[in-house]
Amino acid sequence: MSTPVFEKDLTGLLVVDPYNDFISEGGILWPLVKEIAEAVHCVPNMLAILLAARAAGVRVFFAPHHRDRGREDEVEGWKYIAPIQKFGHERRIFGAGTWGGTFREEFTPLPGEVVAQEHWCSSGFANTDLDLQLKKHGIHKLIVTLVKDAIASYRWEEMQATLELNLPNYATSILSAADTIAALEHTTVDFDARNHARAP
Amino acid sequence: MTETTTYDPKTTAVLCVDFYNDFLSEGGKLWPWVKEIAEEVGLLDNLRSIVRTAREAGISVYHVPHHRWEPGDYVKWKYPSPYQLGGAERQIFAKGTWGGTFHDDFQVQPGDIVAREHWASSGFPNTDLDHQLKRYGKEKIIMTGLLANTCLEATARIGMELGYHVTLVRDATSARSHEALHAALDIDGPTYAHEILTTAELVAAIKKARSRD
Repeated sequence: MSTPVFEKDLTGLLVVDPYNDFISEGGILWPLVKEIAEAVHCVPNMLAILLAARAAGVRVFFAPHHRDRGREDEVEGWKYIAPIQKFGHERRIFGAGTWGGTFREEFTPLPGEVVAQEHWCSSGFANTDLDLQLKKHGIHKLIVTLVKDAIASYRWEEMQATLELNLPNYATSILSAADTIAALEHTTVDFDARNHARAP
Repeated sequence: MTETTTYDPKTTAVLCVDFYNDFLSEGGKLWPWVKEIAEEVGLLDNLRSIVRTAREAGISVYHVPHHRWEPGDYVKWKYPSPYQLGGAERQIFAKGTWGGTFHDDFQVQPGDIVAREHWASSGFPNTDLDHQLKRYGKEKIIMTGLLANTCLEATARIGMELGYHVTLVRDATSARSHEALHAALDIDGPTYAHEILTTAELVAAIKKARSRD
């Protein structure tokens, strides 16, 4: 697969659930993702991509999972709750107002970056303004967790299912963090060159 | 599983995802993809049994069809997906052809709902499926059809996100490989599906709900 071009004005970086509960030592879900996260250098890669996107002027979007509100949480009254929601609610994962429900420090959104509404379950699009926010900003290309060593999962088997069985059906490109960063660096160069050409 | 869901006909729908000849019939373009597992699990018999049981119980049958290929499809699209390009190349589910027609045993009957065709994997985005379910008061969707890890899973997942109660049926679907089937039913399914049953369990649950009336 050839390296894609990430046009600055069309491309958004989507950062999904960079909560302490997921990616920080001491987080509730860290023990579940730790093995794979460390093996693929998930967190350093996520950070490197974030910094490369910012340096290239690619807009950053955050898609945060619902923050649990304990006994006051809306899911308490829901008719049909999905297994993963039940699991999260029982453990108060990403608790509202807690450290676990706060983004890991290095992933704090900067002014001008877009934080979409919280998603209730797995998809950042369902029942949120993420689609609207992307479209309003003119974004057509998404760099998501589709970077193969900047995602993590609970089991290797899940990683394999995601990367080898499911992603190839719908992802336009599947890159490593290094290739993503290289393409993002290229974005900056391209953009400067284009600007330079326009204004000699 | 301790207690199986009650399938009240008023609030339940069976979703038949892509019951096309290209998928389900000998000679169909994608039959070779699904044949091995389909024959192993007895897919066709199970689908027949579920649809028949649902009809007898008064549960609505919803057809959830993939886009039927036409000349010119995706040619001018900015970002077609790998799946869409592959489908177009082979003219899968071509409009007006046998391959793009529902299998003989699953023809649309009076009272069935046929949702608008979906463009990619999920039966919900860009179609009227959500509307068609809500307008008849359906809350529970029973997922049958193909493929386990693409259209079926994408439809089931979005259905869950939209608030539906989702049932997967282990032997009423198929995939291109055992790994893909395993990923759909044993890795992904348990995170979002409210029930994962066999055809026999589902048929028993539907009949049980019926006998309570």
